[in-house]
Formats: sequence, C-alpha cells, structure tokens
Amino acid sequence: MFISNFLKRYKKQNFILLLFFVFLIVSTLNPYRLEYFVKFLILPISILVVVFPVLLKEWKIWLLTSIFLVLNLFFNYLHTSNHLFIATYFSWIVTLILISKHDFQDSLRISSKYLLALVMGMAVVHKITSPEFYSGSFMSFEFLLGLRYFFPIILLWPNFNSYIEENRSIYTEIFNKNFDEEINYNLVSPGEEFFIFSKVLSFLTIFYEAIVMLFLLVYPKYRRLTHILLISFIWFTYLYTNENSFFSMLCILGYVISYEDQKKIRTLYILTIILMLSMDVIGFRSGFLRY
Amino acid sequence: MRKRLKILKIYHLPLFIALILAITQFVLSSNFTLTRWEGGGFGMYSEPNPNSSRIVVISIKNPDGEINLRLNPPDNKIFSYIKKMKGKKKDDWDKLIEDSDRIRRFPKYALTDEYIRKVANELLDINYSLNLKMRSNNNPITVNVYVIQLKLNIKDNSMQTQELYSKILNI
Repeated sequence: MFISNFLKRYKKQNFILLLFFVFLIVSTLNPYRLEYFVKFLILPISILVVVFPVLLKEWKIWLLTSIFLVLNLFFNYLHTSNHLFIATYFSWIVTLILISKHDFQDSLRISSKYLLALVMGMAVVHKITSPEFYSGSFMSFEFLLGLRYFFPIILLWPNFNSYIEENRSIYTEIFNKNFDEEINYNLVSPGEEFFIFSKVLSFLTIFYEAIVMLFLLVYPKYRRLTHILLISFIWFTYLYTNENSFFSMLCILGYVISYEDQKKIRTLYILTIILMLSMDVIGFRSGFLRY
Repeated sequence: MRKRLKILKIYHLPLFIALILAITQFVLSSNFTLTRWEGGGFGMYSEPNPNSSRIVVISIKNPDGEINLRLNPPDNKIFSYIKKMKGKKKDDWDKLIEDSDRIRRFPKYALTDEYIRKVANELLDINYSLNLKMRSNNNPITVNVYVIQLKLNIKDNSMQTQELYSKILNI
C-alpha cells in the first residue's frame, strides 16, 4: 500500500523533470564537474525534489537551481563540461515557462527542440572548421594512442593493441622531454587502410550530426524518424566516447520533445538515461574499455 | 514584423543566450587559443582534448643557469615536492597548478603577468629542494611560460610539438 502510494506520487509528476534532478545529483558526485560550493547548493535542492516530486512544478525551486547552475558557469567557465551548459539553459527555460505560465509541454518541447538543434549544429560547425577533424587526424590520434576504444578496429586489425602499446610509450616519452626544441615523432599504425577508415568515420560523424540537426529543425515533421536518428546517434557514439552525462542530457531533451503517443521512444529514452547515469555512478566508461 | 516578434516569448531568452555564447566560444576557439572542448560551444571531439594534447612549460633563465619544467601536467619533480608540502605553501602551489590548467585551456586569457611572477618566485624559493641549481640572488631573471600543442599529421603519421602561445617576462 505504502509503496503503491509512493509510486503514484511519482507517476503523477513529470517523470523526465525528476530524472533531470537525478542527473544533477549524479553530476555533483563527480569531483570535477561542478564548482565545489555550487555542489553544496544544488545537492540538497535536487534531493528535496526527488523525495518530494510535488515540488517539480514549483518555479521557485527551478529559479534557485538555475541561479546555482549559472554561478557554476561563472566560476568554472573553463572547466565546465558542455552538458552542464545545456542543463543550465534547460533549467532556465523551465523556470521562465513556469513563471510566465505558458503551456508547459508545448513551450518546453519547442525550446528543447531548438536547443538540441543548436547543440548538433555547433558540433557540425566545429568539426567542419577543424582541419584536425576533417582530415581524420583527430580520430586516428585518439585510436592510435588508445585514448578511445572502438570495437570494429579490433575486428579489422586484430593486433591493434600492440600499436597502442608502442604509441603510448612514444607519447610518454614526448611528455618527458625538455621542450627546448621541436619534437617530431612517427607513430606506428596498421597502414593506409586505417587512415582511410579514420577519415570515413570522421566524415560519417559530420554527416550524421548534420542530418540530425536538419531533422530537428523541421520537427515535428518526420517525428518518428527524428527520434530514431537521435537515439541511434547517441548509442553509436556512446560506444566509443566517454560521455555518460552528455548523452543522458541529450536523452532528457529527446524525451521532452517527444509526444505522449510515442511510448516506445519515451521508454527507450528513459532506459538509456537510467543506464547511462548508473554507468556514470559506477565509473564505467564505454569509450575507454582498454585503458 | 510585429507578428514575428509576437512569436518570441520570454522562455526563448536562454536559447538566444546559448546561441550568443556558442558563437563567442567558436570565435575564441578559432582565433584566440581557447580549446574547442570548453566554454559552451559544443565543439568537443573536434580536436584532441587539451588534457592529452596541450602542455604548459616554464623556462627560467638567469646567469646562474636555466630551469625548464612542465607545469601542466606537473613535472614529477614538482609533483612529488608538492605532495610533501603542508599548510599555506601547499595551498599556494595547488592554486598555481590549478591555474596552469586554466592556461592549458585558454592560454591567451589565463596566462597573466601576475601568474608568471608568482610561479617563478615560488620556483626560485624551492629551487634548492628541487635540486635545480639556481640561486635566488639579485640577478635579472627572464621567465618564459609557454603552451605546447601536440599535432598529429595523418599524411606522414607524425606527431609534432608546436608552440601555441607564449609570454616572456623579465623579473
């Protein structure tokens, strides 16, 4: 009886907003993500909201959270991860909608859609203007040094780990140099095919992000396809990057822009958020399976 | 026009701020040494992470000798020495290392004359303990703090160091 009442209390509330506060709690657990004093401001509020979900639509709670998140950006600008920028904007959007008493779901859906499109759009702009990215150098740098792990590489080049070993020792050597002269080292790699692979993967990333952005801009047209593209982008990229929190935040936005009748998509977003936040708490980094 | 303005609501404000901040970050990262990874421009994974590709080095020269040390990631000599420190001295050094991390992310903004003076004086204070053989007498000292960027060239598979930013000060 007690449990069913407890669960009912949560069901009545906007579950995704509740997950946003869980996301904030998880962010406070990481020693580097939030400014130290901001953690002590955000943690009690977030716990309070999770325990008493009736507070989820209380604008004063959102205003306080938004102010604290801005304080974090202000004092920690050069160390704040991009997902906390998104969280700050999202929190302010919710605050202003609640204060201005506009239709909550629709207003939040439209704003979140443009926020998501901005994130994807800027990611594309940075990638197409970064010679290191579009030349494929960045991808090969990450893979050859074992900074990221991408399972198809092992299938294509079974002894890739030995290249990583060797390159890591070159890398460590570079860091221990005196730096009074220019250093030029050659990394070992499987050969020309590997560079073509890195280049193709770089182009595919740019192309995919651009497609997701375009679909978001015309959303809710092709709404099912937009969500499939977004969630498959999240899952595919998640396999070789260390971004539990960033993708959880993207899923929160993805859920917010979805419609009530898209139950399967919503369930998928919720499961992904819960899984990624749990991975974050236990310290599992999917893109760093090797190191 | 009025109709168009009516579409704009107060809750769109964060979106405009997000856009302005993202464009500012893009300009700063393209022209003023800010890393694409930080500053709310959503440019992560478009270049190597500064933690694995940027190095902050200090070089101190006077007639007695020369020190070349890595400030970030901290050189083993400094790192092991800080670990043993206690009290205010340790706090000062922790702050200097923390600031050097900001320099790594945005050298043009974070590398100030004040920082160079502070870190050089602290290093000269402990140079005997670090066995750097540098006397802290009244000789003029030239301090150079610079940020090195590791660049990988896919064409010849080479990794090179390149100076990204530097500042020289006579103290």
